[in-house]
Amino acid sequence: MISYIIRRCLQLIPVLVGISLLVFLMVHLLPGDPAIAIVGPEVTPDQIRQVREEYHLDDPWLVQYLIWMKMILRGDFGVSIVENVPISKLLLARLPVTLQLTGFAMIISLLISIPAGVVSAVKKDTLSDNIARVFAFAGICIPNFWLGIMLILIFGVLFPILPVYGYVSPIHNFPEALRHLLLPSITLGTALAALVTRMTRSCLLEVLACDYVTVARAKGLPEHVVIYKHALRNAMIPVITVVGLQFGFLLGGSVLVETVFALPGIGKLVVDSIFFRDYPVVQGVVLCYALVFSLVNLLVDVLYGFLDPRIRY
Amino acid sequence: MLFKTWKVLLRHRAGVVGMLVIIIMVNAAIFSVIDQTFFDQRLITKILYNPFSLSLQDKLKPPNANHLLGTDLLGRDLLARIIYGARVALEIGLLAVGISGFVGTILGLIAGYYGGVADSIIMRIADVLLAFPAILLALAFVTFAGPGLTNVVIALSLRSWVSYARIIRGQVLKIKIEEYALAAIAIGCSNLRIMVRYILPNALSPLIVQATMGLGGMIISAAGLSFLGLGVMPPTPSWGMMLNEGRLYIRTAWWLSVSPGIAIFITVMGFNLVGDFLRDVLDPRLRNVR
Repeated sequence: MISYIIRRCLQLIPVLVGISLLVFLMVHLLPGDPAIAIVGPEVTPDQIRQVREEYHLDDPWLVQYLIWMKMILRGDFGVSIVENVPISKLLLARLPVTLQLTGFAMIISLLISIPAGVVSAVKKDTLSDNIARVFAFAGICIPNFWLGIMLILIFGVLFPILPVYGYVSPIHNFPEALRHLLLPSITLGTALAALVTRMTRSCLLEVLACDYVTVARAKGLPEHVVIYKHALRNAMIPVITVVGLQFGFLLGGSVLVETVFALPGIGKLVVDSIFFRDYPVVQGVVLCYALVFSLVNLLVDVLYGFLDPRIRY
Repeated sequence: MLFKTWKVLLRHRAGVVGMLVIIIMVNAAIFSVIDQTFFDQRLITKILYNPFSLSLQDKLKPPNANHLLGTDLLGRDLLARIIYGARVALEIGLLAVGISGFVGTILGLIAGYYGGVADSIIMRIADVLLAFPAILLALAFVTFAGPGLTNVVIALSLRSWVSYARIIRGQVLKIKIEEYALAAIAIGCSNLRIMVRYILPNALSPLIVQATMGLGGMIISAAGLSFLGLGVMPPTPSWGMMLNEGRLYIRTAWWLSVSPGIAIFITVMGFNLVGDFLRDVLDPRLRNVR
């Protein structure tokens, strides 16, 4: 197991190098002067010269990349042009909001989707199965930013019972924080809930047809023991992998959801930075997203190795 | 084969619904292209209103007999703009899926067939791209390259070719050890001929399913970029941009936010229903499974 974890960590190194290279090249390979891309078009020639020196833009790009990497490894993502504060500080302040949103979205979606998937499989071809399947299908087709707007319309305008904008820290007021996160989390988690419902249903149907389930039933075990102890445990292995891998999908979705609900996470930060032409922040946020995503995927792979001992790549 | 698929489709109710939705959307898109190119928006004014002409005395009118879906902030008819928006959605979706499918197929074929260094390089690039959430990579590209239809298409294709490449690679790895592929090698066929003539036609089924379902995803992503103000530029009507304009008036003009979203939802649903149907037809293991 340890050698598997070490091997999996080593495999991550070239991916991390590739990620950093791509994020670095975003600014440097596109047409136009990277100095202008970094500080914006409204600058004097003196300021451009200063930026070129500061960012070593007159050096070969490999040297520039190595200098930039050295800064990143020290946790120095540069300075925001608009707010004039270190980008790492901005990221640290905003990342917890995004992680709370994605975490809460995942919890809500799993709380809905796994029971829905189980009911759908156990009561195959009944009304409840059909309802679950229709909702799961609709959940995949619905754009999350539109769902968010519709939830604001219903719970903020027609029946104003939930807060629809802003963020409250759970440290200051936990129940209010949950209330503020509820609609954004439902918005973000719907697609995942739909996917997990479908996967749980199909995996459980497959497992319920296996011989060991028939044997469990033949032994006279009660149906709930057969389903929850024998079938569901085995059916959940592929579902857990998908859930883990979908964390990245949730992170991506948070960009739009944070914009709709005005949540001060890193998704909102990247969108605001785009409009203020604060390119170093855009670069920093993209890098941060990719790093978090890669580390979560690594964690999922390792967990999967624990859950299913047959998995050794 | 086509006739047989068509016959099966007619028995597959969800597939029929999906196909109808696609036919309606494609017709709307073709209509707007013809109307704009050859008739200078005169055709649509015979049945509805010009989607570009402003009428400030009609601004923010709720749905009524004259404007079935209401009007926007500048008094433009929403239904006319939604019909015109179908063109942008399908154009971006088809181009992005076409480009990513084409690039992914070629790279997947090379990776799967030649293996070794080529495989390692292509798959490592794929791993790096997969580390970025799709919408974020597209957002970053459009930020640095600028908005507009071409850049949106490139931005959406940047990462999505990876799924096609992975599918084709997997198929090639399976097919290249089949007897007919080995026989083609034995009789001295060139690598290109083996790949294009023998391997590719047998590897296409999952690709077709992925492309159909991918179209829905592309339409949502393109609308997402437009929603953030980084997609197609005004005055071209796009569903995402209409939603963005609408959400600012959600308390006073709810209809601005409802109809463009329904248009996206129905279109995506159409492609996904047809995708589900194609998967059932093209994958023999799923034919009797629901």
